[in-house]
Amino acid sequence: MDILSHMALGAQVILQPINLLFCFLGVLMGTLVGVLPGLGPTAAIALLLPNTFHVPPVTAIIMLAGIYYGAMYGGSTTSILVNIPGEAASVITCLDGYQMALKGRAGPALGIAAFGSFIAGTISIIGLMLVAPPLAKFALAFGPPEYFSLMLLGIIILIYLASGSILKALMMFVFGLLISTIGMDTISGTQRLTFGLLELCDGVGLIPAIMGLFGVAEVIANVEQAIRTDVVTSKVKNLLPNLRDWKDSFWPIIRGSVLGFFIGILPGPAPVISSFSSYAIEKKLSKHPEKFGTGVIEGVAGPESANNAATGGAFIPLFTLGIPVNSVIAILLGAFMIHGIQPGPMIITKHADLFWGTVMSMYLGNAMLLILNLPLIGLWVQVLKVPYPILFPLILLFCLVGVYSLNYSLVEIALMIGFGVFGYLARKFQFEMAPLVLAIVIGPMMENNLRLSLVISQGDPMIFITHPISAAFIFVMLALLISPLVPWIGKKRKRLQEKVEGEEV
Amino acid sequence: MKNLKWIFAVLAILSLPLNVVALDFPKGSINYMNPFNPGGEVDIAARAMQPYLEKNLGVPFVINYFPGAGGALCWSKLAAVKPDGYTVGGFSIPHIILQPMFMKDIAFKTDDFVILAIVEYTPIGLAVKKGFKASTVKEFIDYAKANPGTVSCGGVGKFSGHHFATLQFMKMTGVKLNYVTFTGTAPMQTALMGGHIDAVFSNSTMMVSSKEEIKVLAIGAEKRMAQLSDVPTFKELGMEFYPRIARGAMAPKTVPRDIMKRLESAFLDTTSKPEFKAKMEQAGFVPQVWGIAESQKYLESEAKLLNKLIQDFDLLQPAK
Amino acid sequence: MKSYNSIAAIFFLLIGIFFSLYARTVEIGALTEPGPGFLPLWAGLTLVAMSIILFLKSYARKAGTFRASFFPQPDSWKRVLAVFLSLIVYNLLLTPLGFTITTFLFLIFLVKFIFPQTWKRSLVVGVLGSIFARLLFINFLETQLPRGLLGF
Repeated sequence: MDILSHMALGAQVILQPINLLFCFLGVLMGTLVGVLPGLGPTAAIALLLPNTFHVPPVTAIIMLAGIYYGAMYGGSTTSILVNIPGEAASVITCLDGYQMALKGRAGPALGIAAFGSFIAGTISIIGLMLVAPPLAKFALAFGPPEYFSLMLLGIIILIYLASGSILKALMMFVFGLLISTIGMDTISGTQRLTFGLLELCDGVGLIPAIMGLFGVAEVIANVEQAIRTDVVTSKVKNLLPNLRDWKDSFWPIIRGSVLGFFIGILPGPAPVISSFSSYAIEKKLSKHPEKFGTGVIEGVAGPESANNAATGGAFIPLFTLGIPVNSVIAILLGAFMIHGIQPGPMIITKHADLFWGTVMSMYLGNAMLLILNLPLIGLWVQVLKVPYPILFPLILLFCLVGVYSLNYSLVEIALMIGFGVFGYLARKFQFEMAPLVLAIVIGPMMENNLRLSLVISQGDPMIFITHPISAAFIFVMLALLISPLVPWIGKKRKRLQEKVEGEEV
Repeated sequence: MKNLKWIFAVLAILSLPLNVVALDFPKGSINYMNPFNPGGEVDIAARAMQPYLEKNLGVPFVINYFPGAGGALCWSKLAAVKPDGYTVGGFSIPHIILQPMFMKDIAFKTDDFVILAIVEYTPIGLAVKKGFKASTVKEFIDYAKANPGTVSCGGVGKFSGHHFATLQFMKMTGVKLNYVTFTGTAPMQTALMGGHIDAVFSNSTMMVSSKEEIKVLAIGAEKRMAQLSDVPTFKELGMEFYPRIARGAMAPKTVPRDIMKRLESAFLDTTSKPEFKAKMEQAGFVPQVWGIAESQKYLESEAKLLNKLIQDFDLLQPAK
Repeated sequence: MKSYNSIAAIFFLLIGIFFSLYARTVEIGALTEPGPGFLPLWAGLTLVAMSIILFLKSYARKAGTFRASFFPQPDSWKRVLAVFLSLIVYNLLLTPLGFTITTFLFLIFLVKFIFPQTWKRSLVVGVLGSIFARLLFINFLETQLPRGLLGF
């Protein structure tokens, strides 16, 4: 069938008042929740799920989808303003976004994040429309060995991320891997280092870790200084990105969108992986990589686009195969089933109005997000003007509530405090946090897939090479590993590191 | 003398209705603790029941989520709530039987609870990837016998319904399969569809949603399922093999008996409604109308079966 | 920087050793079926190796020792400690005193004592902050925060 006639069908669906209303509600709720650190899209959806039973399935899906990408966008607001990521995917935005805010450029940062997300969302929806079924087949070709090799590649990305010593970044990564083993091992059922606490059974929570490493540690580091003569006393002019910003951000946005879209198709924490990857790629392609981490707009534009595009990509397996790639999509899947819609390859054809209605609603939702959030930028920037002595207790409060509201667990608050101590010390000792977070996020997946691969191959490690896609990843990884050894690239790195650490390599 | 006895008897009988009428429950909303995440099987059943329950009980039926540790977190909390009947929880059998046996530091025992109703179960079926050498159970068994230990068979979790189904199958047929543990249904589905593993033992709901992409060899139900009309049951193939995961609602055992009966009647009323049954069947569940007594019987027989398998396979190792 | 790195190296060394030893108490398993101890062992050993390298590197430098002082100001440590303690105390008091009161005390303490503000300001922030937080989280978002002994 013709794409245009599909779009027309979809447009017909969404232009009904009730769908418009629910789309707006979803996007609004999603953004609000995304801004509050800790509460993620899952919380918002769980909250609003009961209200969806009295409306037709299309409306329900439209609202729930709106919550999802609304929350993705909201998470970047706090990252930029106060260096606290709203969820794991926004961690990377903290790196340059917050630095931009410190220089009085919070407005442009927020603005480019908004526009980038919108453009990325649009691109990923186009992708969803055009290539959904073939892409789904591609995703199926990924089995445990492929995932493991992909994760290994992630380590290489990590190396490119490190602005300082590679060794120290790797150490943080390995440490993160070890931390990720805490909890009940799903494959064997054994408890690892849980000390009898049921709360640790599912592992060290990502949110307490992020809140601690970024939120608490940042606040403590600031508190150390005598009075913070404030952060943003420089007039916050220019609430919107200027022409220069647009020029710099154009390609990062495009690249981030495409990258995020493809990664989003794969099961797993796609928004996180895509934002990290985008940052690494932008840094690698940039003419001034040493400036990354000091407040370059590419470091915000790319990752923000990537993580939004990933949310679009995540819908593909849902609609084509009926498989959820993350917990948010899983809830959507459940919503399908409750409404009597059979998930699986037939959804697009049997429930065309649902699919196309959702697709068109995503355009609408993204547009609504943009319109909703741009005026809010002025408001958010005011937050920065609150004197720090009053602001920081409130920040801490948000961290505390954010963590507690996840599982109502005091243990997790204690974990956050522990991570706060560690994060504070890590800053002092010049160790980077991003590798640690990445490891906690992908550690379980890496371990699972490694073990699964070995079980399937009955102990034969060659399985990683005999599978073509996996072999390709390993080849790329080796190639990237060798390249720093090529002399002139190595020199460039050395210069970079010296700039950062002052005296040591 | 005889007259007095009669009078007492009559008075006793006459006062019975007064006892029943005096039950002042429920006065406020009922909380349902879901041990798993939103969108999962337990959630779907709960949400399907919600409107009927609210109508029957006349109060809101509120669903809250307490996921963690495969359900153990929720059940530990449930064992400790005030037993006034206002809090009930979802469950899965065999999880509530197996977890106290295998997990250390767990704060509940299977008999801390009384099951009010089993509302549905998902029969576990055997499916193989497209293009696999076997397309019937018999061929599968023959192939596995000829190649012991090389056929990879996935399931979700260790010491779970799927794992035990695999073990039972191996015991019954004498084949040796390579059990591959997955952390959830979704990755397992992808692995099977992509051909990375040979077979799975998994819930009927997964079979129904993937039936185009995989070949379902048999299902462990009593009779053929409408959603999988061309799939034979193990029974038809001559195997008394009914692996399943059963779900419903339970309450702490110290809740007063009459309150339990009241809740039970609400659940039974809900599950016997044709619209409820139809919704469940469409998604691939088998609705069940079992109350306290039948559920207890089922629980006990499952426990016996599982214990036997544990003995046979020597699974209960000294606690790590 | 030098001595910071050596201290850090020792820290990670200990962690690596801890995990490697711990891995032996749970099954390491074989290549055919890696057990729960597999990754902790190998990752632990890797960390040990890396820590040793870091330690050696930090001694290889010949440049003069430059150890920046740990805290930027002499009284920094008081503030840092105070904030950490306040977080710990918050955690402890949350259940008995309930969300609203604990938040109130927490906010007042931090505003007043870390970067000394007037009592008026502290009280205003404390009251408004805890009330707003309560409304937002408990009433609007329906998160189940503890009510404490006083019931709110």
